[in-house]
Amino acid sequence: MMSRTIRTIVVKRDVYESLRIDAGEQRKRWSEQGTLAVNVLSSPGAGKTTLLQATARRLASRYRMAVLVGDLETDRDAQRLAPLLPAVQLTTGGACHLDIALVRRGVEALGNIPLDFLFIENVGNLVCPASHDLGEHLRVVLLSTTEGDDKPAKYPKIFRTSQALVITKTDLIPFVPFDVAAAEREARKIQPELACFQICALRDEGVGEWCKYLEEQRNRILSMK
Amino acid sequence: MHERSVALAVLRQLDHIRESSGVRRFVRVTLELGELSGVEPSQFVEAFFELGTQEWLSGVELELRQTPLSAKCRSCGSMFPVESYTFLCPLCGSTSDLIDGDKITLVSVEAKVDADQSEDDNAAFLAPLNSR
Ligand SMILES: Nc1nc2c(ncn2[C@@H]2O[C@H](COP(=O)(O)OP(=O)(O)O)[C@@H](O)[C@H]2O)c(=O)[nH]1
Ligand SMILES: [Mg+2]
Ligand SMILES: [Zn+2]
Repeated sequence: MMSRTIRTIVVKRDVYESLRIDAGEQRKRWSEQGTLAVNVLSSPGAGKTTLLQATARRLASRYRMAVLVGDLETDRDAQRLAPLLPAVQLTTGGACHLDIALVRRGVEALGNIPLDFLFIENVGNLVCPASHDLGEHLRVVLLSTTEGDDKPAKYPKIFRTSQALVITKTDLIPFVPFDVAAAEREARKIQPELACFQICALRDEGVGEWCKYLEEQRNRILSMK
Repeated sequence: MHERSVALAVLRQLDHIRESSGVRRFVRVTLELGELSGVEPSQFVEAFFELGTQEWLSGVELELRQTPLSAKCRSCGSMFPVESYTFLCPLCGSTSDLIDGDKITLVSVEAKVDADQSEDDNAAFLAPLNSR
C-alpha cells in the first residue's frame, strides 16, 4: 500500500500571470491594427459618458472610433453614445469591473471593424477596475470636482496605474471646496508621470486639449509599429 | 468584489498543482499579497473558503503575507520603501519604478502526497504555463 508524506512545493507564481498574458496579446493586436485602446475609469457619475460624447463630437468625423460600455445592468450609456459612434454594451451582471474576456466579446460584437480609437467605458468604481488590465494602451481616470480632492490618496492604485487624470465638472468649482492644484499634486505623488487635464464636458471646455493628447498617444503607438 | 475572482484564480492553480504532482490534500497554502495588489485580505480569505469546498482542501491553512511597496529611483537608482503611496524619490525627488508590492504570489504549498512521488515531479506542474 502507498504511504502518504507531507511535502512542501515551492511555487512562486504570480496569480494574475495568465490574465496578464491575455491582456498583453490583446494590446499587441490593437497596436498592429493601429488602434489606440483607452480604458476610462472613475466613480459612478464622474462624467465618463459625457466626456466620451464630447470626445466623439470632436473626433468622429476624422477618425474611425467605437466604444465598449461597461455597466452593471442597463444599456443606457450605450444608447447615449450610439448616435455618435458605434457602441456596444457590456453588461457585467453585477460584477464590479470589466475583464479581458468581456472586452474580447465586445470587440467581436463590433464586428472586428478597423478602428483608430477604441474607448472602453469601465464600470463606475475606483477600486476593482484598477486591478484589471484590459489590454489598453492608455488608462485614464476621471475625478469630478464634487467628489473631493482627497480621492487620489484614498484610492492610490487607480491613480498609480493610470497615465492620465481628467478633472471633470470644472464648471462646479465655484460651488464646491475642490482644490485642483492639490488634487493634481496628490495624484502626481502617486504617479509622477500623470498627464493632467481639466475639463467641463457639458460646456466643451478643455476637450480640445484632451483630444490633442489622444491623437499624440495614437501617433506614438503608430510610430512603434 | 473582485477578491472572488482572485480566489478562483488561486484555486485553479492549486487544482493544477494537485493534478500534476500527486497531491492528495493541501495542508497549507502560502500567498503574498502586495500592499497595492488590490486585494483586501479578509475578503480574500472569506472568498477562498467559500469557493474552496473541495475535499482536497479540507482543513487547509491559509497563510497570507503582506508585501510592502518598494521602488527604485529612475535618476539616482536608490531603492526605497514607499510611504503613504508617495513614489517620488526621498533623496532626489525624481520619479521611480515600482519594484515590489503590486502582485499576488502563490509562494508555496504543503501537501500530503503519495510517498512514491519522486522529488523531480516537483516541477512537473510548472511545465504547461512555462511552455506558453
Ligand atoms: N455640471 C456638470 N455636470 C456634468 C458634467 N459632465 C457630466 N455631468 C453630469 O454628471 C452626471 C453623470 O455624468 P455621466 O457622464 O453619466 O457619468 P458616468 O457615470 O461617469 O458615465 C450627468 O447628469 C451629467 O450631465 C460637467 O462637466 N459639468
Ligand atoms: Mg456612464
Ligand atoms: Zn533619486
